[in-house]
Amino acid sequence: MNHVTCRAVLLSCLTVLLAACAGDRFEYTPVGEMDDGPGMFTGESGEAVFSLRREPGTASHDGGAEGDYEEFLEYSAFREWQNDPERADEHREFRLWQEWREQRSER
Amino acid sequence: MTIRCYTMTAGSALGLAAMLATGNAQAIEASVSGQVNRAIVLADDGEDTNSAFVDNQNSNSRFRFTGSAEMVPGIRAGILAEFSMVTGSSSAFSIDGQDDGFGFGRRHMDAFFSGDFGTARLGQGSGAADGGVEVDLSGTSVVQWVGASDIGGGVNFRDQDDEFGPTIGTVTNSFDFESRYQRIRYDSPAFGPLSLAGSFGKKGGAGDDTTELALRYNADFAGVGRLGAALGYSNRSIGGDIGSVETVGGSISFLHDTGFNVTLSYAQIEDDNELDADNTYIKIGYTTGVHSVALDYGVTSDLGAEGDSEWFGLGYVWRPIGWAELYAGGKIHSHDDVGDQSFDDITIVTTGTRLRF
Repeated sequence: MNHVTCRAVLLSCLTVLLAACAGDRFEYTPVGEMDDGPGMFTGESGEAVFSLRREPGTASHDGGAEGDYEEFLEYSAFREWQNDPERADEHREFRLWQEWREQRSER
Repeated sequence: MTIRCYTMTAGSALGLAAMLATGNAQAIEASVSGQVNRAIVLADDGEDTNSAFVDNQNSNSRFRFTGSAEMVPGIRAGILAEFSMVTGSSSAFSIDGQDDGFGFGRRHMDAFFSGDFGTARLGQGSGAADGGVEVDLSGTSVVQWVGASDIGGGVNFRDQDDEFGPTIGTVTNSFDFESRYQRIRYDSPAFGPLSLAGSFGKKGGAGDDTTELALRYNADFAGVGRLGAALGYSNRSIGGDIGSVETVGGSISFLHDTGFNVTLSYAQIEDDNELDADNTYIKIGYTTGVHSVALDYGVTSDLGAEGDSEWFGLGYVWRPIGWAELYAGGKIHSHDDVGDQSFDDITIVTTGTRLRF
């Protein structure tokens, strides 16, 4: 196929494509790249995702993100303990201790 | 002891609550994913046969890290780091041996910024036209596609005296532009099914200036099917006698809702010296979702040696679940006579599996 014919064919295809700007777009993943899809261990998302919430300007230091996540786990455990009816007596005692601390600091 | 524990826990809870309550918290996501693609290949060059366990270079084994976060309102910044991990490359497989080496390959090391303006990428990654001749909706590309030399590229054609001639890889090529290298790339926002892309970078050890442009079209016609297409252009300034290497090409693939599909690809490459070659490819297939089968034919003209190098093949892929593919395929490569050399056909059979993790 000579150059003129080649370019004519490609330009014709380009014209057809531009004229046929119809249809809903779909996300095409090139053959050589990894497709979005489920993974054996990673489930439906196909990725092991790590999600973090961080305040802007928070000083970043080694293990900073890990510390936030650990704090969140502690808070979750605290809320679970707080709402556990079997521990109601312990929670009441803790609240009384807090009040005693506040009164003592006011003297 | 018990009271101290509660105090510490309550204090942590209050501290965390304070952090979350002050607003403007950033959501940062990072992910890890990958795939393993292993196969058994058997080749017969008309004189000898050989088989090997290979990493299928149609889509090699790899892993990647991606992450993104909102940098400023409306603009997300992110990274993509992807590495291949290959033992026994299928493209290096030959009759007289196999590539048993292991190596990590650098596929992507990209920083990107995306928003309503589109996406800008900086780093090692695909040029704008990469994949432009490889659009394929058949579902069989893991075992057969326009890049035929990715399986058995190291196998030599044998002449009538059983002497080694050119390898499949030296006379067969899809001419898919310039692949991956150090570049800056811009992808426009989608205009319906259409999108544009351009890139400029430095390729190879000499840092050849490389420019690429591409137009992509991906449309889903409800009740009819899907159409994917791409047109691309690349120019790499090598200098010297070669001058600039220009590639022009495109591909189109249509998948009807019944499962029938057809794929076409054409590319032409030339430089300022003697290179003037082209590649034509067609595939016709049928897919039901978990089963895909296709016949394909391709011809590369005037690359490496005079004449045409053809191949035709049959491929089948079974996808029982979204993360697993089992496949099998066979193909026959042939090459035109060159002078007084006539070459035997090469038969290659492949079976394997690609698993995502």
